[in-house]
Amino acid sequence: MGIKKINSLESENSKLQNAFLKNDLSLVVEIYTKKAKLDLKMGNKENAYFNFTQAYIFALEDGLEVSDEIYKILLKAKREI
Amino acid sequence: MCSDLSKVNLPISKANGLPNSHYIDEQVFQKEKECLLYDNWSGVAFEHDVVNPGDALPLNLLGFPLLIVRDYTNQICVYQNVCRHRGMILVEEKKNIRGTIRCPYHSWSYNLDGSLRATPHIGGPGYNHHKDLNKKSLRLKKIRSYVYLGVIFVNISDSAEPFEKTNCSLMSRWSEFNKPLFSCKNYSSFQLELKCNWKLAVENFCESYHLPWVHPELNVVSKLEDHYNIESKDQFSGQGSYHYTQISDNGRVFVDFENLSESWKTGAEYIALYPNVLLGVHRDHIFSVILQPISKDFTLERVNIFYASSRSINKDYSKLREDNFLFWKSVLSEDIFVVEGMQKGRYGKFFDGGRFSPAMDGPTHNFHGWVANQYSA
Repeated sequence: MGIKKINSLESENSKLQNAFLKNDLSLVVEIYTKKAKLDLKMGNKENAYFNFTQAYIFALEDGLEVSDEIYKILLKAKREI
Repeated sequence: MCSDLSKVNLPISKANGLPNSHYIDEQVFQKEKECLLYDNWSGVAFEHDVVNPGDALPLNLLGFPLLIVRDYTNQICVYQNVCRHRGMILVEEKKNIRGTIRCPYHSWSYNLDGSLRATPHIGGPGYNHHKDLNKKSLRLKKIRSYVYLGVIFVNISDSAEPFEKTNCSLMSRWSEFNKPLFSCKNYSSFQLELKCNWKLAVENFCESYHLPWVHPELNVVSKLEDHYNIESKDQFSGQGSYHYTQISDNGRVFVDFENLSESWKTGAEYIALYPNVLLGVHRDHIFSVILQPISKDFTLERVNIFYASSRSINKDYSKLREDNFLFWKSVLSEDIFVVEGMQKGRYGKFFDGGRFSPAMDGPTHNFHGWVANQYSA
């Protein structure tokens, strides 16, 4: 793994940690969704649906409308019923 | 643990009160937790403790974890505050829930109607379902609840008759007060700590015999002879007064409930609704008291005053509300030394439960009879 990629991951994880610390679930959902979409793009399906799931749960908790959209993605991939 | 209750249900002229063990024995206390509090309709919170949709209040009744929620249709629901997965407490602190109730352990998520909405990674990472688990069968355990006079009642064991049936006599007696109630943040609620068994607070509240001695200032405005006993077997007991005088501030008095009968213009009633709620009604306000047992000899007494009209909670009435608040706080605080004194007295091993005044102690005798009957129910 290149140094640039490690730095980018650290930066994402730090953003996520800060979002949790601030209890900013909207941002948490945004970060997980972004990670999931990037994973899909990279062909890493398992990581992608793990991250979509994370995004979905926090979107549900925060009552965010985006939860419907994520649910449809999970449903289509047979990860939800 | 077996106590002799045979003398409790004798006619009042021959009866003895509950034996000491019902106040000081841990095993009896645990038994009463089940048969008095869990098997009946117990008061646990006030309606305004969850005032906004999404408000969630965790509390426990002698260890039983409850979650009180006001859902998005404005209905109050009570659940066992425990996740169906690993038994984790779902909500630890009062908060407003914007979406689902998420278990902090593995994030099983529940809708406010108690249905299980999501089970993340339950079929492995990224797989949120599993053929062997049916979400529909894993709702939060709903606890029966009912709101009456601003108090949220629960029947934990699910064994009681419907609230309206159990308490039909009181609801009928006080039907004129079954109207919207108004409360505000200032000078509406207070809490007292009682170093006694919760039943002693019930017993003291429901009789007027002690008024001239413990509340001499009350006796000036409402004498002992102005009072009458109220007894309804297996439901409630208390006392009424024919002589209620409204407090006033330069001629200003609280606004009355609408369409009250004439008798309520000067009447007031104070009733212990078994097991643990104390209620007082007057033409212009009511108060509700929840006795929260903490241990066999420690009780929290939560008091809230409600007004008959929204006008009475306006700023113009703040002085009057303060006076009313201080009045009731003073009266109820005056009772602390007697309930705590009776608790200490229960360690006198030669005390036999006491003999009643046949004329004055009917309401207490009625309560003791109810307690005894719960053992055989």
